[in-house]
Amino acid sequence: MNAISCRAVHKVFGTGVRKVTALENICLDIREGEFVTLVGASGCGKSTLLRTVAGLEVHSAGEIYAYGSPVRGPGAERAMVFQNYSLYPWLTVMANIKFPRQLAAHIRNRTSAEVEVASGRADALLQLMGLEQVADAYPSQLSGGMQQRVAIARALMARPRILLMDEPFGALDAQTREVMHDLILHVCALERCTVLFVTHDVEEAIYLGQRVVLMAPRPGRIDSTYEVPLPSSRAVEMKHSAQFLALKSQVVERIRDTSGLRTDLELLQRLAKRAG
Amino acid sequence: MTLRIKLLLMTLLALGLVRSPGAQATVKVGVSDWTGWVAWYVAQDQGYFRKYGADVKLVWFANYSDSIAALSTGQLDANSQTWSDTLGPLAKGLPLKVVLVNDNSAGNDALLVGPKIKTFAELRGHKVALEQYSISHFVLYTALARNGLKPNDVTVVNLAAGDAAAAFMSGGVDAAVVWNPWISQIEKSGKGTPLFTSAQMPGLIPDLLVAQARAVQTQRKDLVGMIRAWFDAVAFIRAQPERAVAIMSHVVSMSPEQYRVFLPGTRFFDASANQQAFDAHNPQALVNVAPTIAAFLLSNKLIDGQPDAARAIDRSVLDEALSRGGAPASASITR
Amino acid sequence: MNETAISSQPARQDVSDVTTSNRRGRRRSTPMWTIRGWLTQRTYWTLAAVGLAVPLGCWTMLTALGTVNRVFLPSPGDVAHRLLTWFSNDDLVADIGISCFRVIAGWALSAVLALPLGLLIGTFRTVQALLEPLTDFVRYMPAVAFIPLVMLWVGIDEGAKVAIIFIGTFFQMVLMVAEDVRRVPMAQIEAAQTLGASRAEVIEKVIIPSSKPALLDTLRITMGWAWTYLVVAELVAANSGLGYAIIKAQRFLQTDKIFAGILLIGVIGLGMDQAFRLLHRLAFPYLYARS
Repeated sequence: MNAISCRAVHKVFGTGVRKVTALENICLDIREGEFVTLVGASGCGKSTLLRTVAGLEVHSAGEIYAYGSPVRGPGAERAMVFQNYSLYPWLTVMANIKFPRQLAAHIRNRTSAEVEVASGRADALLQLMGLEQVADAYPSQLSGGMQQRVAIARALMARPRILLMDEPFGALDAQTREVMHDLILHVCALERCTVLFVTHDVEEAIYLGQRVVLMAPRPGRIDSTYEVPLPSSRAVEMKHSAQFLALKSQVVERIRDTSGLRTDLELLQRLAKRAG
Repeated sequence: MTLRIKLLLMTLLALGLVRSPGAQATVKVGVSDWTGWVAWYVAQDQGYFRKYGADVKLVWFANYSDSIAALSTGQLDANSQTWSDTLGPLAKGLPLKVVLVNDNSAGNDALLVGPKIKTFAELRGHKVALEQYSISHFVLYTALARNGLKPNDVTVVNLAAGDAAAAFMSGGVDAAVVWNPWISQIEKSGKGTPLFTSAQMPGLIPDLLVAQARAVQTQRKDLVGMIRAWFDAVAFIRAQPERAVAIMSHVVSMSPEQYRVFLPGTRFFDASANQQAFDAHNPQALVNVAPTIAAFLLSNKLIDGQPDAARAIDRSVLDEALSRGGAPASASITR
Repeated sequence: MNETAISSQPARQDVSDVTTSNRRGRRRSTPMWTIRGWLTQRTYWTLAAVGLAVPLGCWTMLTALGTVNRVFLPSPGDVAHRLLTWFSNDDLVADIGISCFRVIAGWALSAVLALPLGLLIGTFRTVQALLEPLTDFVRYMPAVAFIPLVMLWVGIDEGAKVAIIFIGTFFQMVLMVAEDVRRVPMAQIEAAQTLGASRAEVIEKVIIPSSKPALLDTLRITMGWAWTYLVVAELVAANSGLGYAIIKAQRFLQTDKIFAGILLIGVIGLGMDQAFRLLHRLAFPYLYARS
């Protein structure tokens, strides 16, 4: 059984003249434990696809299955990490991480042993994310990178089988992002969750993913898929390997082709003449 | 803009803002909804102001209290208000002069009681709705004093006259002191009867024309003309009540049938009645009833100190109105 | 790990910054006039004291000059004197007490109804569609026009005064609460949903705690509005209270008492406002935490 299965998924926004086809005939299967990254030019629908899998948007046609059950709305087995502003400012870091424990979806059949295990899990996640120093701080006191770490820890607290990530490192600077890459690889390997990761950064997509799915805009559709020819445990040096760079240029060029942007030499020369 | 033009503009502006004294010819007179004062519109309608050379602008006030304040703050040259409401500003030393008595309330203010109360003794301990410290309050005060009751024997519920009538009709209170039109409304509904009316306290509720002292100086001619016009209006009301009612009811947007009931409760003051009111020898003269009214106000801490009533009563304007060309011909018609 | 701190606090300007001159010899803007700048506590309170003292001074001077009749513009001394006699002879404490009771009761009744209703309107579009247009409409009706109806339905006791204040406050409050609830960031709600929260849990554990600071602010602001309805409320069969005293003083031109009453209401309102702000600081430390 696949972790995620999309069959001919369509998503349309608006009606009549303002109708926009955000997703057209999406067919995608993701195996259990796979780390798949979604890339594409802006407007290609990658975030929409992610949100539809999460159940935050309702697809207009087609079927989506998570571990065989049809997706009808959000659920605890598909936890999502957003780009920003999703942490609860009135809770400390530790309280944010422990938040899923209050929810009925996670309270069922709590034996004392399970409760023990659960609070141990919160401490473990805290340590895993390197947040021990700030356990009692409020999110507003943290840097962006630390806030995202809390968000990831909170999502993982719920023991999701599927982790959905919507450009989680988009608002961070390059150095922090590199650190987060290794962190997320490490954590997802440990937790053995299936990950669907949306990004516009091709390097990030190739470094993190086992498979890179490229989407094209207008209408949003899957254009091509690339298997990443790197070993499963990644290291930073791999970013300079020939295979990495070759794949990167291939994907970048494909994105450019599908984005509709043209570098027309004649047009540029004409513009230069006018300005000159 | 050159400096010269700027200076010219500034001078014109300054001239426009500075008003030379005495340049105001029109006397601004406040009027509100009381029969004796709405009668001024009869004088206006019949052209009596023009006839006697009085340049008058009647300013209508929906809220009577606002007109009192307008006179006190100098926004009006004269106002229609009661004697008790004049004693307050006088006690503060404001320069006001009483120049005319329009009428006395003779039944248009009344203490109404429900069917359970037949005598004053039975009124003891009940709630009476009225506008606190107004004429209605004074009526109650007088009624109680004359019937052996003290102010504390009843509970006063402070409501504006219309609200007091509503509270009485809905059974919230057992008694109310209101003025017309609510008296007739309550009587018609059968829910209440008058236990005491202003007809039983003549002279104590005079309705007056009160003017600024400076207006008496600088606009004397208009005030004199107004007074003469007033006596013509009174004569007209007595001679042709139906037409008068038609004019007055139109002013307050009521039908003549509804307005007719107000006339009997208002004792209009003609020339001779006015002369009596300004005559200190008459026990019901303005100056002689002032202490009684002042006592009521003082006991309720509404005024600080005694007002100088005598100084405020200026009969010279009345005398001047009556002397020129003799008393108006219509004063000889008795009713 | 090397992290760059992205502080959420605005950049502070040190007041001790030396002003520099640019090429043309003009001073650059001083720290006091920097847009969204920052002052020391001392500077702030000094300026605040000046802001209050200057009008007081002008008032005193104006009355001392005697250009305006004492009856219409009493001096600060007259007002202070009237406050003292009011306190010793006319039961000022009882007036303050009953007025505070009426305002707080009307406002509290509003809050008890407006908070849940506003929450529902702000959370569910269906409820919003049903109730918001009606509330918007009633909001514009002047409370004073309701007096005869209130007397008919509620009577002429304390309930009537509380009802007037309620009418003046409730409809505004509902809409403001709905607005506060709507401003909860969608990401917070969606995060909870993707963590497995049910609808009720989202409302209870995310929407309510998230909007609490804004709700407290709304309560503070609406308390201020409730006070402005005091005079209207005390037109209905009142024989005590600050509003009643002002109305009575108006009738008899006791302007010093009018001033005293108005200033007193202002001071009480200010006190309540500051109390709310203090409560805000105590209840939501995370909003005031420095990084």
